[in-house]
Amino acid sequence: MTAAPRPYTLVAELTYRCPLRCVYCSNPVDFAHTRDELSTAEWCRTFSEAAELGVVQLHLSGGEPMLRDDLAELIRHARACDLYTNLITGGTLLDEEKLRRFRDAGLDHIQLSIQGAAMATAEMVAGVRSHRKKLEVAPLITAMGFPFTLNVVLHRLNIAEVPELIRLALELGAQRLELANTQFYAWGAENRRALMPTREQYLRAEEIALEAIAKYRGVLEIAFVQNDYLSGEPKPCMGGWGRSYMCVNPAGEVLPCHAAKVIPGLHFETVRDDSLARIWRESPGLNAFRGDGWMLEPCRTCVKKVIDFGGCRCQAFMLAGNAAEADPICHLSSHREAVESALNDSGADGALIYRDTKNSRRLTRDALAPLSQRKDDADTFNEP
Amino acid sequence: MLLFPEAALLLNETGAAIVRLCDGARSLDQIVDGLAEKFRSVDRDTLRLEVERFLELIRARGLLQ
Repeated sequence: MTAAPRPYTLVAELTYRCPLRCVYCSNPVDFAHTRDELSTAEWCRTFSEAAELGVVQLHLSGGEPMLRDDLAELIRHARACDLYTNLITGGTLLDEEKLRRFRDAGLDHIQLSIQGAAMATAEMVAGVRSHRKKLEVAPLITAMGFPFTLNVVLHRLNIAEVPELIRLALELGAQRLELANTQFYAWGAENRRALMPTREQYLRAEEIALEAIAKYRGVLEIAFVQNDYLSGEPKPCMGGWGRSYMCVNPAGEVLPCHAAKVIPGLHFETVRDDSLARIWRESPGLNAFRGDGWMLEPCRTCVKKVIDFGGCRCQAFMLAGNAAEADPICHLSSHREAVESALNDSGADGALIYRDTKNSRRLTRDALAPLSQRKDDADTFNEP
Repeated sequence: MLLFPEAALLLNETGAAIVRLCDGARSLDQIVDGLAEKFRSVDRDTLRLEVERFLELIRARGLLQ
């Protein structure tokens, strides 16, 4: 067994509940089956234990973390543990009074998501009326003195809006803009056909983003997160499995990333079972892909294995059928055809499956049905 | 360590000393003064150049206002 390294970052998914229904959501498709979210005391203990392990950075995520009534209390506790605390929110439930409470509790940073620059696009992607409210909340965030990142997940439906998104980030007074191309896991994978941009769309967006990165240096920091399928470069996913990141989901399971449960046969403990330190060190799930002993060729003898760690284990499982294979995004993978066929099998006619409880239950009930029989599950944008 | 939303910068000894002196009140000269006390063997011009270079670096990353 490889000695456990020091974790730096904890992603705390406080809840899977969310008022939005975004088609690219990274929450597991079966989220509706989650019961018994961790209590306030259980989260606080988790933060304390994480800080003792060396964690310095905490992302409060979801779902929509604002749906936790104890959010201010959790922030206060995280700050008492000296964790740099970032709230990742859709923003629709924020108001001045709550922002003041979070500021008083010591919150360091807010990341606000929007789903597009044009209201029609944004609300088609989010599946609910939400865009205006987000634009109203952004000035409150800056007025309260919070450093603020605007986050937009990019895909075929909104990728042409990159210039407008950059302008909007400047107008709203954001310090950072994340142009994060869709990662094709969970709901993003369910909607891959509709969300995959064309190569031309992607390269154009990348060119605009790179220009803007140089132009706005020192004013607005812009991050452009690659589309794996179109980049051809495997990403060093999470900086390596179980290496510097840990993710705790609403049920308390300790994961190397939010998607890891898609890989069958891995066992992950919950913070209810044991101390975080012991789980981090001894969890069979976290140890499964630590180090490089698990690697097969071409990764095993590749000079880049210390840089990209063989890419993403979840993607290897999803595209090559084996989590220990090279990420098929890599040009050296013998499963490249899975990537090519996904790129070919995409188009504007792709239907959208919204991320909500109803679809979660339906998709996981029908999980064994072939994809072709699930096509009619796509529904349309309607207000909740 | 300098923390920001998606990453952290692990500063070396000089970087950490500079950041500690950036309290929003000290001027560039005063920061150089502060460093000169700590690094006595380095001349002021070199220190000043180092401070300017470092501050520009973190300003470009949006870490300094």
